[in-house]
Amino acid sequence: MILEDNRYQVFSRRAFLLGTVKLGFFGVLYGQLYRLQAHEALKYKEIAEDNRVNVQLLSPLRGRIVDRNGQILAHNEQQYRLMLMPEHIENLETVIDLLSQHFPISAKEKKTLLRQARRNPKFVPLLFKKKVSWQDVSKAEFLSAEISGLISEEGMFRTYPHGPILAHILGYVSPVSEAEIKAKNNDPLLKLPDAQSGKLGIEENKDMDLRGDPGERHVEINAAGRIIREIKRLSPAEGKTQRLSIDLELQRFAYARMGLETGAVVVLDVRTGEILVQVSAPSYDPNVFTSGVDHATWQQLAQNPDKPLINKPIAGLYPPASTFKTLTGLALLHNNIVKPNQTVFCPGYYFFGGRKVHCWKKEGHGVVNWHDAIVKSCDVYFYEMTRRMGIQNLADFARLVGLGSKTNIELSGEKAGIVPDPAWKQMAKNQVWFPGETIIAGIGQGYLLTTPLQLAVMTARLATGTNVHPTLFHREHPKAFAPLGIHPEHLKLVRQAMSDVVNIPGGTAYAQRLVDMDFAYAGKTGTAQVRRISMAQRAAGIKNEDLPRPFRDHGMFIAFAPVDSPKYASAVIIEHGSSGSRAAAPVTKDIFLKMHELGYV
Amino acid sequence: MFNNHGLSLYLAMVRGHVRRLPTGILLCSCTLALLGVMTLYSVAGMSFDPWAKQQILRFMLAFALLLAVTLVPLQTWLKYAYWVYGGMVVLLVVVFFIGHVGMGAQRWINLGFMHLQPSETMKIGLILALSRYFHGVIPEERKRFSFLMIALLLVAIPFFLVAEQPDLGTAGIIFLSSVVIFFLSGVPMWIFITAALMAPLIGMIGWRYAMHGYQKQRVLTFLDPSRDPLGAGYHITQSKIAFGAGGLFGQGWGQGSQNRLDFIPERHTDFIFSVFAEEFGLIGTVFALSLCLILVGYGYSIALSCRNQFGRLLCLGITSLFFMHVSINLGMITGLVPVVGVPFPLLSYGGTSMLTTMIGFGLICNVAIYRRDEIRRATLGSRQSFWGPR
Repeated sequence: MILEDNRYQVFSRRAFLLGTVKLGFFGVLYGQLYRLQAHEALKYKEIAEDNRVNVQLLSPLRGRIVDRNGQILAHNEQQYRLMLMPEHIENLETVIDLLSQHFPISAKEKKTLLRQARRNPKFVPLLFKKKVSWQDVSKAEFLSAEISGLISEEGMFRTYPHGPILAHILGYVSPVSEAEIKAKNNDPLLKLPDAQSGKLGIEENKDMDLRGDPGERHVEINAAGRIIREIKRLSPAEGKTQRLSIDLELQRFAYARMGLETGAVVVLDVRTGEILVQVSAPSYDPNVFTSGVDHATWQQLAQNPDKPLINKPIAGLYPPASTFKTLTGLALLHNNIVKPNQTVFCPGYYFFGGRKVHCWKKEGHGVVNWHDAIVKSCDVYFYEMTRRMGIQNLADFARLVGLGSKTNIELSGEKAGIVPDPAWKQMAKNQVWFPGETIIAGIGQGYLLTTPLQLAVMTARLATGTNVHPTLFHREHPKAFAPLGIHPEHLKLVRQAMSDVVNIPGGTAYAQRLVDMDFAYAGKTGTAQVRRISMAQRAAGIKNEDLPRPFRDHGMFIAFAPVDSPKYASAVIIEHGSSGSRAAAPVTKDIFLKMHELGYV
Repeated sequence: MFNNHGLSLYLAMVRGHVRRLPTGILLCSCTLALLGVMTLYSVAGMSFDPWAKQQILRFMLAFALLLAVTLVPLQTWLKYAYWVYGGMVVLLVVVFFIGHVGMGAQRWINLGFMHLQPSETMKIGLILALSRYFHGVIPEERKRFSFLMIALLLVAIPFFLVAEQPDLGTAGIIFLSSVVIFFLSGVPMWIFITAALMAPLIGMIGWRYAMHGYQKQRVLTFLDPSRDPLGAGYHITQSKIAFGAGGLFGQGWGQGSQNRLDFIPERHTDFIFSVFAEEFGLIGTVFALSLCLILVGYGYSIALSCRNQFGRLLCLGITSLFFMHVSINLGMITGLVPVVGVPFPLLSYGGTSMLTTMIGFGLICNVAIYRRDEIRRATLGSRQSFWGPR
């Protein structure tokens, strides 16, 4: 029994030790339960809620773009697309290869898909092909019996029903790039699978307004990320409709009237600055850009010598040529350099600094006063008078009527053009000004460069004497523009001269006058030299029309109508059209006739 | 078999047994099992299928086995302790070879209505064998190297068979419950201290040569959970979230979002207590853990009042086994210890674990009934010192 006592003693002593250890463990476990379930419970409750609820953004519909009469220029169209569900696909690459036998995709598209699949969680669907036809949808339905994870769904796609007619105004939307997401502070809306952002044009300018506000969908998800049920839904708000100042009917007419010619047409309302027509030719179909343009099409557009990707009304730079004489003429009066009745004798050439400079009319205009000089576009008169006025007076006045700086139209890529003066030349070329450059500037040649929109704005300012600013948006409550401070009498004279260009015999655009109409328009022709005609060619009697097209002069015409109370101003450039009177003026005339038909004039 | 007289004597004995049955153990284990069934019902989306129904049937079977175990006299258990141990080893060897034939780690034998995991039942067999081995120990023997070596061999055979499966958790529990019996039977302290000091060395050797890649991974994940946020670490994180989301009063039966939405892994087995914690809150978990504490308390009170060494060792061995399951499982799912596949006794879905636990409680009850019996040990040096009294 001594043994039994000893064993019991040892046992009970050690059982006590062991029991204490166990109690200690129980204490730790109770403590851990308290810590998790009481002390840190709030934190874990939040995580559990985060686990449970997933907030998904719902893409808003992009706002529509309409013309001044409410005609749709850009909207969203329901189309079908094929999606791949990575979570139901074992080997994505094999499935893509298999599908591409039925729906061809490029190697690059395939690479993009695989990259997206790697980047996104498994349950985010991949866009395999968009804008598929009904036949393709039914084919996909048939295939989905074999290929799990292939589904067709309907989605909204940006569409431009008028294609190339408004391409340069509207711009286009295209899928968002990684760089763009970063640049826009990781805007969550841009990360949606079919997110698009505006590129160029109004789509770019009003991107934020057009985009709308995303909706939210709160869903309960399980551990695998699968949606169990929807908890709450906030509908997305459609983007704001943008009403443009463009008249679709007139724009379509002007685009069609350009035909195969290249160049630009701008028509604006001189009272409000609203642009009714802004054509850039040739153009492109923005619809091909919305789904990402393919390389071949892009190359074709980028390498086309007629530059369809350039928005010529705001980014095409042309010497204003003789259309500029209206401005020079007004500057002469404004600066008190000449009286309207002062005359210059034009023998067809002008000696300056020991060199002979030609008038466009070889045989000369004879005696010309201020009015005749504009109507007949006499170069010699303006050589002489600009010399007297000096370049600085001319440049200052050109800037007053809107040349040499951007009009701040609501489009990107606008060019400011050049109004040269000695200071500019020193800055840009680090050279001194030569007096010969002054007289060339007087007839709108030399360093002078303007955009067609600037010429239209210039015309509007000459026609009204007010500080017209152009806009592409419909102005509900237009404000009157401030006067420019040009003497009304001078304005009247220049308007009369421009009217006579068209409406009296001997005017350079007399052939394009309106007959039997209850209104008349005024204008000024211009022919911008692309390449100087050599003495040898001049001697051989080679005319501009005979040269290969790329060497022919640009034809330009600025105009306003009606003559007595100007409402609309226009500028038309026909590239390589040889002459303003024969190429650009007829287009202008037809547009005014169309405007008359539509009730504008 | 019995004549009328014999039958009435037997029934009188049974009545005496029933009076001496520690009803607290039965009550606590039934309550725990009920909580388990409720949680399984919730895990299945408020349905008896597929787990709760099975669990009820198994518990009924296990409860019957518990009662059956109490009816066999403690002396008989002592007598057949090595046979039970031997039988369990044979089963382990069988699954060891089945597993190898099946080119994988097969840990169970299909009995038709359940899968028997010999590694679970082995724990009971080993505790029985060690209790018997140390039952007759005298102080001199405890220090004898050869005496200890035989005991160590009893431990080593199942330990390596289980570790080879590979089931590190169970092997660890087998090892630890043996250590408890060695300790309680008075093996000198310095041996434990030396072993504890050598443990890091053994651990390093084990790390280098014996552990499987995924086992190493688990230990590393425990040390730094961010290593594997979507693997074991993710499971623990989600389990802790479930505990916290339960808060004081729980989300309500069948309402836990971590449970409903599959965020908790292995919800019906190892992580069942996380589900329970989410739905019944701190109130529920403290209640359940207290039931375990009461059960452990019963084990201690019975062991300390037992007049024979076999009963004492058996009782505390099984109590410690139960305690280890509870604390390792709870420690694991609350992020205190590495992820080892240990079920929560009576709550987790699993037939063998249920049977083993209830048979274990049956043995404790048995000790309670026979605690006044004094079982002599054989004289030193005789053949009986190993085989015990006949």
